[in-house]
Amino acid sequence: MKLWRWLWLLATLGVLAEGFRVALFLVPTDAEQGNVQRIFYYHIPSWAGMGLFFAINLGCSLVYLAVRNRNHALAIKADSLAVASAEMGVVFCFIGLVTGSLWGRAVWGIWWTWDARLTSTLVLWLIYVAYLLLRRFAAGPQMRTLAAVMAIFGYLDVPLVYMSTRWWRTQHPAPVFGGAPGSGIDPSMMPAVWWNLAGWLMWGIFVASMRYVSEYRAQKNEQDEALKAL
Amino acid sequence: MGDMGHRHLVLAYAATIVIHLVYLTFVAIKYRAAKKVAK
Repeated sequence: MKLWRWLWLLATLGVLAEGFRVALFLVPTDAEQGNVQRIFYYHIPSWAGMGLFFAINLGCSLVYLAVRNRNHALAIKADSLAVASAEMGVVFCFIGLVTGSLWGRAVWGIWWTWDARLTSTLVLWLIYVAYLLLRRFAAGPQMRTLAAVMAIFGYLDVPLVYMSTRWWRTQHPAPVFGGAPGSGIDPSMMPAVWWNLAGWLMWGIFVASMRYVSEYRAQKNEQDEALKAL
Repeated sequence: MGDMGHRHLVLAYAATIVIHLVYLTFVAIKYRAAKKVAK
């Protein structure tokens, strides 16, 4: 592993450790929910990570479709990054669902409810799992094109998830950030949000970059083998 | 917060870390395999 990657990992672990400390021991306890509200500091970065990596997947899929017949080198890079970002997004989405379910059980008394936010998020997760399964099990030269098209359609669910608590009445609370006037959390709680947001996004970038390298090498090797066979 | 809230807070943090570590292990295996092929 290259030196910059080790340094990035070291910085990431430092930020995550500080985020953990600030979230659990420094910021004040929520007056209504008590300590269980601290799940928020791991729950929000999961959704931010999911949004970021699914957006990268969308961008890479568009680039792949645009250049696949003209610039093969760039197409491989875009497709490799699309895979890495989709996997990372699925991991973040899954963590968001798990932490949300645990939080819901503690404050609502239920693990799950079929409201618009939770259902659209589960559908989103399933779409990207299907995308990864398609990539894993479909064969033939059109697989990557098909996957890129699927990623574009799949991303249409992301704005739906984001807007679901604004458009419909849901069990899930109204948006904390960017919601109605007066929404948001106490400024004294914000350091826990920023540290964990930074830490988990840095972690996501680190892991996705490693995954990108392995996928790129595998695809490049596959291409070289195909050229050799000719 | 009662005992259940405490338990759920610990579970949420532990689940986050464990899921990330499981995926990191998968990525590390793929990374090593790709490095071997490149050599």
